[in-house]
Amino acid sequence: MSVDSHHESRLHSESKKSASLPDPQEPESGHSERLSEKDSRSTAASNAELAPNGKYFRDLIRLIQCKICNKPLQQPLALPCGETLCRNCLPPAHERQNISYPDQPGRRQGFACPFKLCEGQEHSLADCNLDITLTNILTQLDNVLSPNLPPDPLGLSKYFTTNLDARAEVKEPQARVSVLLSGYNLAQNGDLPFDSGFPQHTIPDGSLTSKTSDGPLLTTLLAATRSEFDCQVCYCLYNSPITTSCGHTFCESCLERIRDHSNLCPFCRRPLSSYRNIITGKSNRRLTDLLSLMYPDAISARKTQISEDMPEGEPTVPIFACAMTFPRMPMFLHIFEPRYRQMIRKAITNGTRCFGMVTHRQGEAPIADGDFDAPFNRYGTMLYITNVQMFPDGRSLIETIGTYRFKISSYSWKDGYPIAKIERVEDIPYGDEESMEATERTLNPSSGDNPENLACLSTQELHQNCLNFVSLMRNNSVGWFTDRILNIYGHPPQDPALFPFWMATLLPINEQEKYLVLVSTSVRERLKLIMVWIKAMEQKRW
Amino acid sequence: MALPKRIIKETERLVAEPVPGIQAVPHEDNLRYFDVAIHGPTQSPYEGGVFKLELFLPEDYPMTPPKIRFLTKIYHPNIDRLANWSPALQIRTILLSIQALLGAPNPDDPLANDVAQRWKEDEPGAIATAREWTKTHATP
Repeated sequence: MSVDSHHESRLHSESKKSASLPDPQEPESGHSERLSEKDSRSTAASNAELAPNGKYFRDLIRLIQCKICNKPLQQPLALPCGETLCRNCLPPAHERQNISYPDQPGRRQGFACPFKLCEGQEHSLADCNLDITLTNILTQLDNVLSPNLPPDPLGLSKYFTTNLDARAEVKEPQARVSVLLSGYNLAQNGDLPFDSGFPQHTIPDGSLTSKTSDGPLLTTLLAATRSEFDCQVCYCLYNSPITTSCGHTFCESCLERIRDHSNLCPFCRRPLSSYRNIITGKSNRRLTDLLSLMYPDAISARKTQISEDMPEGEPTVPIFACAMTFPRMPMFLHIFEPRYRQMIRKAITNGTRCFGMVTHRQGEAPIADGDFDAPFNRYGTMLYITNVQMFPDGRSLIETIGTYRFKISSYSWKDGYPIAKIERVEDIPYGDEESMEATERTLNPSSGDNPENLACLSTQELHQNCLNFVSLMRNNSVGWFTDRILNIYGHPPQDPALFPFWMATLLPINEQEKYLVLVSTSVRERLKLIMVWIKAMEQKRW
Repeated sequence: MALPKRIIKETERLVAEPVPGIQAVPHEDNLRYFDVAIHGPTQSPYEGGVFKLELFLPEDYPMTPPKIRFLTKIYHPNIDRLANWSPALQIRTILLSIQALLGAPNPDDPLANDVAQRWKEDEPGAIATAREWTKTHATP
C-alpha cells in the first residue's frame, strides 16, 4: 500500500520535472543562446571529459554551500581565516576590548569565529566583507539552475527523499533525473548537510547520469560562470586567486605587480597592506576549488602559459650596502665608486629605478638570522630613485625615497656589487596587531609601581607620548631637530605605523638599535622601541 | 616580448563593441599604439568636432596608465589629465572619461591654467573660443 502511494507521487513529480527541463537542442535561457552549435554537439564529449558523476555534482554543490546553514551561500563573506559564510550566519558581534590601533570604523566590532581551525578566535567585522567574485558566480549559477527547478520544489524534495522500498519499484524514471538540480534543490531547502554525501537512496549514482539532462545543463552552467573567473587586471583565468578584505579578487601575480605601483585596491582604492590574505599569500579556497573542479583544462593551460612567460629564474635586485634607511623616508646619495655608478645607471636605463639599501654588518648580527653570512645585514629598504643629477666625470647625486622593507633570501656578486633575491617584509595583519595590544593591556591593566612598564599603554597612547616628546624637543631646539630637518623629512607622521621610521631616521641612536625598528613587523612593538629610546634620552638629560 | 593577453582582449572588445562616438584603431606594426578619434559631445562647445588623439600602452600597462596626447588643437581646461589611474580601468574607460570631460569642463581642477582662469572669469567667452577652435581645428 505505502509502496504504491510513493510510486504514484514519484511519477507525478517526475512528469512535472520533465516538463520544466530544457531540451538540450533547444536552449531556453539567454546564456544557452550564446552557446554555439558546436557546444551543443560537443555536449556528449564534454560530458565524458568532465565525468560528471554523483561525486562531481556533490563537490560542486558543497563548494557553494554555507558550512553553517548548509544552504547555498547568500551574500558570502570572506573571513580573514579563509573560511566563507553567509552574512546572515555571522555570529552575534560584540564590542572588542583594549584595542586602539588602527581604530578604523567597524574594527571595534568583533565576533568569535565559528570554524574549527580558528578555535573561537576573534575576527573584526571590518575584516569580513562580501566576496564579490563568489557572489557573482552564485548569481550566474542560480540564473542557470533556478528556472529549471520544478514549480513545486518541495514536491521534488519529497520525491528524492523517498525510501528504499520505492527505489526497487521504479528504475526507469530515475534514469532521467538531474543530479545537479535535485542536489541544488536539497541544498536550497537546507536538507543537504555540508559534510554528508547525496542521500544514496535518493540520487542515482554516476552511471546513470549520462541519460539525464545534466550534460547540457552543466555545459550551460560552465559557459555562464566562465567570465566571472577572469581576473580584471590580466583578463585571464584566476591564477592562485587572492581575495582582499575589501572583497575583490586578483591573481596572486597580478596583486604582486599592483603592489609594486600602489598600495590601493584597483577597484575601491582601499589600502591593501593590512589584509591578512595578502600578507600570508593565502588563496581564496572556494574559488580555487571551484576553478579546478569546473575548468580543469583551462586552469592547467593557464599554468603552462604562466611558466612559459616567466623569465628564467627569480628576479634579483641590486644591493647597495651603505646606510640605514626606512620606508617613506628620503635619502640623498653621492655616487662616486665606479661599480655603484654602473648600478645606478642600469637601474635608470632598465626603468626600474630601484635598488635595495642595507647596512654593513658590524660584528655580530643585530638579530639572529641563521646562516646568512654576508658582510652586510639581511634586512633593508627598497629605494626608488626620484631624481638624478649626473656630473660630466660620471659621478652623480641621487635623491631616493624608501618604498618597502625586504629580507634577502639569497645573494651573489655581479660587477662588484651584490645582487639578491628578496622577500617583502610586511607588517602583521591588523587583527594580530589588535590581539597583541588587547593581550598586553589585559595582563597589565595599570603600570603599577613601574613607570617603565609600557605594556599597559594603548598603541595610540604610545604614539601620543612619542609625539609629545617630539614637540618638547622642538621647543627646546635640540641639535638633531631643526627646521632644516623638518623640511627634508617632513613633520612627524600621524600614522602610527610610519612614525617610528621617521623617528628612527632623525634620532641620534646607533644603527644596531635602529635595525630593530627596521625589522619589526608590529606597529606597537616599533612604538615601544622608540619609547625606550625616549626614556633613555630623558634620563640622560635630567 | 609577446603582447599581453589583456591588450589583445581589450583590443578585440573595442573592435567588437565600439563605444558610440569613439574610434580606437591599433597600428598594424605596433599593437600598443592606437589612433583615436573622439566626437565632441552634443550640446557642448565641441559638438560637431572630431578630435584626434594618440594612445600608447607602455611596457608595464596596465600597472601604469596609457599615454594619451591630443593631436587636434583643443580649447579645454582639463585636457590630458590622467590622475587616479588604476589597473582596473581600461582603454575604453579612459576614452569615455575624456569624452565626458569634453561635455563637462571642470575649471577647478585645471591642467591648462590660462584656459581655466578664462573659464572662471568669462565662461561665455571661453565657450565661444572653444566652439571657434572646434570649427577651425576639429571639423573634418
